[in-house]
Amino acid sequence: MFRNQYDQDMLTWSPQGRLHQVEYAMEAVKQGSTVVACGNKKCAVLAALKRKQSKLSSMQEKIFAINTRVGVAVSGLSTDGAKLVKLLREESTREEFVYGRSACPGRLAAAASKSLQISMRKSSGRPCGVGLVLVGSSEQLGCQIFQTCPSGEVHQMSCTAIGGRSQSARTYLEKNMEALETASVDEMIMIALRALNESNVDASDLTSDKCEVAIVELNTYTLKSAAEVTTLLTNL
Amino acid sequence: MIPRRVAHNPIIGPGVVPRGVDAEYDAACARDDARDGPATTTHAPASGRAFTLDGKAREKAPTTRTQTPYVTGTSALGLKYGDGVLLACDTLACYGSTKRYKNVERVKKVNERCAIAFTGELSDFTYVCNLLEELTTEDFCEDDGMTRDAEEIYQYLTRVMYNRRNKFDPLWNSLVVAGLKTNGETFLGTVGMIGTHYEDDHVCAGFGNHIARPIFREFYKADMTEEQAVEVMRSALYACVMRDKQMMNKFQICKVTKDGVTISEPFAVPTEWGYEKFYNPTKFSETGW
Amino acid sequence: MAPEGARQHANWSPYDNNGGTVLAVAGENYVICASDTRMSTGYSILTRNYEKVDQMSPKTLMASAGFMADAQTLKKTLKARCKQYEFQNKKPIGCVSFAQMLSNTLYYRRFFPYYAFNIVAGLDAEGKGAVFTYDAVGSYERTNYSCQGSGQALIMPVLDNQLKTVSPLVLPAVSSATPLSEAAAIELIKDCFATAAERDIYTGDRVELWIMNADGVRKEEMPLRLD
Repeated sequence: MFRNQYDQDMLTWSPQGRLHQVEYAMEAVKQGSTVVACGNKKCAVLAALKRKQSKLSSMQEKIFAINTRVGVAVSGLSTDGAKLVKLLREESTREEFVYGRSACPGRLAAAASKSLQISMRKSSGRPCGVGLVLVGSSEQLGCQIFQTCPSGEVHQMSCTAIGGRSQSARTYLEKNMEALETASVDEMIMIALRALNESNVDASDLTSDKCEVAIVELNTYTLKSAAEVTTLLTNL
Repeated sequence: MIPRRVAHNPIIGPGVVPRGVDAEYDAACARDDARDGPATTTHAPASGRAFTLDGKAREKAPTTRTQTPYVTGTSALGLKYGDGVLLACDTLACYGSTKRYKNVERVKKVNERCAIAFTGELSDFTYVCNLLEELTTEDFCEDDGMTRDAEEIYQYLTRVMYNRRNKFDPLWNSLVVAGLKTNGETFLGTVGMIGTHYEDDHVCAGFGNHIARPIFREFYKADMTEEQAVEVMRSALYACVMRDKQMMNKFQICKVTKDGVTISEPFAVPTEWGYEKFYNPTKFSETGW
Repeated sequence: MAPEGARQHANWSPYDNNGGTVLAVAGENYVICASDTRMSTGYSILTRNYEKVDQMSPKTLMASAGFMADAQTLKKTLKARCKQYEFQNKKPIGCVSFAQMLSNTLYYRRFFPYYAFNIVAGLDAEGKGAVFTYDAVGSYERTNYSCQGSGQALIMPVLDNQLKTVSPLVLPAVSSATPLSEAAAIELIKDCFATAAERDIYTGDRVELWIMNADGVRKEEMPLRLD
């Protein structure tokens, strides 16, 4: 049943210098459905596959607005994700109250990182089994993409994909890295959707109720409606 | 032996309780004197008896807040022009009506695109500067390339001043915040002691609101050049130094543009005192001395 | 220790009155919220450009006169709570709910009140204009027109005269919204502000009107006396 004797809690290092509990949490991220993000300074796109718990249930939510400039997609344990989304929203509201300006994505990612790191350090808890892809813009630094990991690590990315079967999306993005630099919003959406399509190994094609798309341009964040997503998908 | 007395107001501390304040005490002293002869030691002057400080009472006493400022700066002026903002104030910090510190820099550079100036309590301003320093350090430590622009500093200070007012422990300052917003526009705003704040093309904190502001209203033009703006500012400073007794004829002008913050060397505005009637003002006055 | 009352400096007060007049009129399918843009303290004008009306949600406008630091903080707090509401309920807050929330927020500070005189204007669930008028500690009532702030005493009687309609208690029920057309109401409001600016030193500089109807929100402005 156990992989080894060093994975019973988060306080025990393996002799190889690994924390197995945290690595298991990273596996939980891979259980989630795919999230793709790509962008440049001027725009960024967040796209995610949605899943149903069962045929009878409604579609899960994947992409959450944090403020008028930042959105986040979660992959992994969705309740852990909900906790982090709440934390980010509160942090953002606080920043806005004090500085009169939407919090910039980098600071929000740092806040998420701090929370993740704390939950990883306590013997009483467990690491959050969720990965976040945070996409947003600020006046000073333009559009940015950040990716978090259960260990609390945060990386700024030019493009990324997390979640189950995300490797094929990543491969697609790696091949199209050069195109990202100069891509317009519409081109960027197409790159994101094609990357997402690579990870869609279901019998059926992508449909508007199977995926969500959010777009960040300078100082705006918009979640595309189902109808808009349908039109976008026809151009795929 | 009469027990040692404490003051009526125990917070005041050691001192002398004069005779005639407390009949019971006077009677006790009289009895004491009748027995031992009049007190001769210097410790107990004939006019009263020393009392001591009641340390416990001081602990129990209500916390008191700043009721009055001590070392103060007077007006701070701010003026926008074509592609920058000017801040101006003198270099004087008064102790009441004493011109106490004549070389105080009353403007502070916050970062490359923001500077603030103050009126009111000097030490409270130092505290505000420390807060801003912390903010800058925090940004530096995050290391994500983000810095606060003038508007964010202004909003932050608004919260600081208002929160202290809510605690009935105000920072005794009005602040003028000048600089650039992230989008490159100029910014000029002021925050008062109780959190009152506004942005405008020209602002004055302190007494200058009565003296310099009308001059700004008269001569302000949105597309002024720097030279013109400095000219307007100098005439406003001149009016202030002539009419505000707490103002000194030694000023600094701070300029914020996209090239950064520069604080000028102290300078004086020319004043003319050589009028004939000033030499002997009472010469033609029949009732003069 | 200096005797009481012998202080050299002005005594400190946590409050100030920055003046200003706010007004709102509700029609059958529109609502107008207006304010002047002067901010004063004592006999000084601090700025001629302080806008007292804010949009709090797609269907809600709020205007406050009184002590500006309190009014601004109140608005900031409410905006944060509106955002929280939107996240929790996945829809923006309606004006009737907002009105209740404002009352609660004001009463929460019953013993250190926000010195702000508020009016909430919006379109209710049926799209009818609604105006809510408050005192500083949260008592409020839904009406179809109201005026608060320094020019209240000058404007309110005029509104009573021009806009008073059937009591909501009369049966059979008759709409109590003002019968004025939107254009006529705009003119009336502009006249009210021009009138108040003649006699009230705390009202002046500019009046801004926010007009909300089914099409959305638009703004109109008119200059007032600058003295």
